[in-house]
Amino acid sequence: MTRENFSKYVRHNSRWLYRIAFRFLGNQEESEDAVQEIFLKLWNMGAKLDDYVSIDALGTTMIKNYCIDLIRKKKYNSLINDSAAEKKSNPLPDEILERAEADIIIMRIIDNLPGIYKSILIKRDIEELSYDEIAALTGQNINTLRVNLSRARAILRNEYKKYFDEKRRSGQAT
Amino acid sequence: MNIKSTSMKKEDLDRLLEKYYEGSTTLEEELLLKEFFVGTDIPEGYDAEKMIFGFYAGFEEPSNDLDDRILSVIINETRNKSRRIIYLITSAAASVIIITGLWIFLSRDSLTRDTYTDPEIAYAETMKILFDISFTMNRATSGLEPVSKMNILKPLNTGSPYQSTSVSRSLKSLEYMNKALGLTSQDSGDINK
Repeated sequence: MTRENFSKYVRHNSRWLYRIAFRFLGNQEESEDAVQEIFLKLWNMGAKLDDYVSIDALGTTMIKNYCIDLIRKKKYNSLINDSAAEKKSNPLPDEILERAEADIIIMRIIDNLPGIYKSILIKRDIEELSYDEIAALTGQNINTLRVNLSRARAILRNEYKKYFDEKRRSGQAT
Repeated sequence: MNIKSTSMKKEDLDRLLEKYYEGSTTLEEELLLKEFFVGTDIPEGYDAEKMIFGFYAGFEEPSNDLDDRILSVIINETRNKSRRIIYLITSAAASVIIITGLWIFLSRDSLTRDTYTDPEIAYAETMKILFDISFTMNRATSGLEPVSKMNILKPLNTGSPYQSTSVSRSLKSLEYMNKALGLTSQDSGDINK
């Protein structure tokens, strides 16, 4: 992995990893630190990051684990400082973990969408651009955009449902 | 984005979602959906939407310079790493040079001696050196030879008390000297070998 490729990888993935970290940690500073840590680890691993446009499963897993560890440590530190606090076996509310897992799955689904669908979905649902703006950026007319957006949203929902049903059936978290 | 949760009737929700999946909603309507699904008042059967809109809602953005900061840290890390490697290699090389030099210095005598390739010449040179040594030794000890031939360990039997003390005293010092030169009666022959 050359430095140039890695820098492209960083620029593409940082906001996604940040998003996951923020889900766990809730503040900008810690989330940015977490992202920095993970990229440094990836760089030092000399990890085989072939496709720099893909949201790396490795990166998302690493940042999730990093954040969980961080929260555990924080909980532990506050527990040993506060004698009245009760010990919890799982330091994370299930909801946060569930949401973070869902975030990761949704990111992967979006990332695996065909280029046109992926592009329109991100521009509209995440970046909240108007149709005029998107049309100007992509050169597509508005009707085409609507059709593509409709398909993209449907695929995302169906894929997520597939994952969610699978998860419920197996009774395990990924 | 400041998301506040809203409540919605189920029919309204379904209608809005239908528009959404057709691609017909406005940005305001989409915002409404996002706000609704971060709330707690969500009916059953909307798990996918809950997670997907929850993903979109309040999509936090990091600082603009986060990427640059990350990359600058990595560049420094790499720079430090290569600097460290260069340092290790150079100091290892330096140690080798120093040790080699020291060894050469300490063994210079044996090294300089070991310069003959022809064994006959080497032998001749060695004999010459030994002859020189023995010649020098002989010259130094030639005055003592009569003494070394005496058996100085046996006390002298003379009648006179004066003679015995002065002679025995000088014999004693000779004894020490002979010992120092390795010229006791047993050793006297070895030097010339």
